[in-house]
Amino acid sequence: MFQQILSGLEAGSWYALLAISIVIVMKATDVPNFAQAQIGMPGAYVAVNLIGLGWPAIPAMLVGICFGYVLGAVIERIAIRPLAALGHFPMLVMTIGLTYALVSIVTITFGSEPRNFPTSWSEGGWEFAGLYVPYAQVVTILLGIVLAVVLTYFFRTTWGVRMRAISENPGTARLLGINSGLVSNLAWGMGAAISTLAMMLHTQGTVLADSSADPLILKAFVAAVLGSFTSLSGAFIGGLSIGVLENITGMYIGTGWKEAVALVIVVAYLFVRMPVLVKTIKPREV
Amino acid sequence: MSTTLPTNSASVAMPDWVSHPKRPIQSKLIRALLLLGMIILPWFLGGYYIYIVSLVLVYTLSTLGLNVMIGWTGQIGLAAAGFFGLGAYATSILNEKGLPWIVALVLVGLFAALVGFIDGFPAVRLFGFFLAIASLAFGDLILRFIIEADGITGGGGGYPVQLLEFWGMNREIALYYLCLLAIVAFMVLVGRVLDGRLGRTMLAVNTIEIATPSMGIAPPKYKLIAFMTSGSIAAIAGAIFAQLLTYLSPDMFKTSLIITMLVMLIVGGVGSLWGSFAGAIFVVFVQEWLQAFQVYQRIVFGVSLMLCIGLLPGGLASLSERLRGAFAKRSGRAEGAAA
Repeated sequence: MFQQILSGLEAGSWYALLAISIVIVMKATDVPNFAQAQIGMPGAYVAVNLIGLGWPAIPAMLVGICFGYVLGAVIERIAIRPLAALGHFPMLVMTIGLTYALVSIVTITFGSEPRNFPTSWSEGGWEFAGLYVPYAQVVTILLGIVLAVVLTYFFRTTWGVRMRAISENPGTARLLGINSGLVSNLAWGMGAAISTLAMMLHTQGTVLADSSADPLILKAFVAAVLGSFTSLSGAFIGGLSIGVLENITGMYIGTGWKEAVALVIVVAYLFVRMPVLVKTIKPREV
Repeated sequence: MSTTLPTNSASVAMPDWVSHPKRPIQSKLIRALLLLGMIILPWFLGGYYIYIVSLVLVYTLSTLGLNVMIGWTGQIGLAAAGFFGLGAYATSILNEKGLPWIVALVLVGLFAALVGFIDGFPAVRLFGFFLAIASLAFGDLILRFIIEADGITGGGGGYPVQLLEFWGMNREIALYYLCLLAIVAFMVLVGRVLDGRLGRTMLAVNTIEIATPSMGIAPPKYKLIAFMTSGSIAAIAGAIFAQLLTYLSPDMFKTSLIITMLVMLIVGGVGSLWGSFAGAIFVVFVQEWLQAFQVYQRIVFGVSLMLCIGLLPGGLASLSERLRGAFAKRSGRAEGAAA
């Protein structure tokens, strides 16, 4: 049971980090980014290749994260910002197109065979009272918590407030002199950097493959929905609970149903919470 | 740019990415010739090409429902892949259990409308992206159910479809005519309905939802109608698809199928029934051309989605209007210069 919860928390941390990046992008550009997991792939591959060249894990991962940031910012500038005036649907379709484009580019550039992602903490763990706690799980869970706290404080700084202002009312925010392009660029960069970290944590100790991102994205979205797409802490806790519930379901009901947990949660949640959500969402202008 | 395009009959400002060309193929003669051409096509094409054209027709049908929902009512529902799978499996299983295929088809169509009602229920209150995710999860849930009910569906191992007998006719040609009949029937039916009051009401719900209650229109009702229609049409398309493919596996109805459908819809043109046809031709062509290269197939689909939505909102269907608009602008400028 304890072991199951711990692995659940580990998986939950991946979902939570991706959900946080979805929320950040959502806050600034008001688009659900369906490519949020895939956008972290190129950076993760850069890190793997650097480790393959003999770099130590931490600098390689940092370079990968920076690469992710630049990639996110470039994509925002080229693909997303020109569509901002057209409304939600075109931007959503653009991110769906991005999922295919990013994964195929990764496959073509880096090949489709799985790559080892060794870190100095991917093997070994603590043992006490008959329980085994691998280092990798602890690193993942701790990093998740640290990032969630740091980002919560970030959204109280000037830049964070600007981001929230842009998402809440772009017109007024611009009148107050906020550069909406810069803010949305920052959000996409940050989102991509965090996704890169999530993808690296997901594959550390196991393997990185071009199909790694696909199973994560829907669960990350469910976690983001649990935070109503606005609350970082809600998304974070949502991600962790999905991970834990999945593992417990896998243990007591059957591994086949594990995949259905997140789907049931989101459908049920949207049915139950509907009136609350409607209250928090402002009506569109005519 | 949008100002030069003729607006639709509802005369409300549509978003740029929706094109409702009034009548892309104006002449009744041209339509009759096109239909005649489709009818005599099997005499000129070999078995493989007949299959390919049938596939195009089935895909067009599957996109038709999505088009009603996204292009007219403006609801971003992404459960169509699940409904497609539901129709494929349910009809084949009922047929195997002894029900005549056509009866099974009607029953499954009605059942899919009911499931569409449940899927659309959150849509009554939810806005764009919540709905997109809820319906995406809903479609995945249908697929998950198909995988888990392996006693009757064969689960991940796949399901061999009991093939229809066509009174001794060549199976490929008979199936082709079945597809043609289905697509013509639905194109005419859906086209008629959308041209009429219901279509205009749906457009109003899409563009001026906040003003509709004061006109005596209840938006939830029309959103639910859109969800039920699109679920039903996708399921019927799925049933024919099963006969065409002869073997079903849950992998066919994964999230990638909804992306393929979106490619057809966007490349063809949201809001144009003929556009879906063009989109389906594009998709089937790419799939067959790059059959052995999944990666390149994906990159073509991904990039075409991105390019279309970024550079050609309105898709292929808007091309003729655009060209006409460009010519009009140029000649207008020339006249202005002359004056």
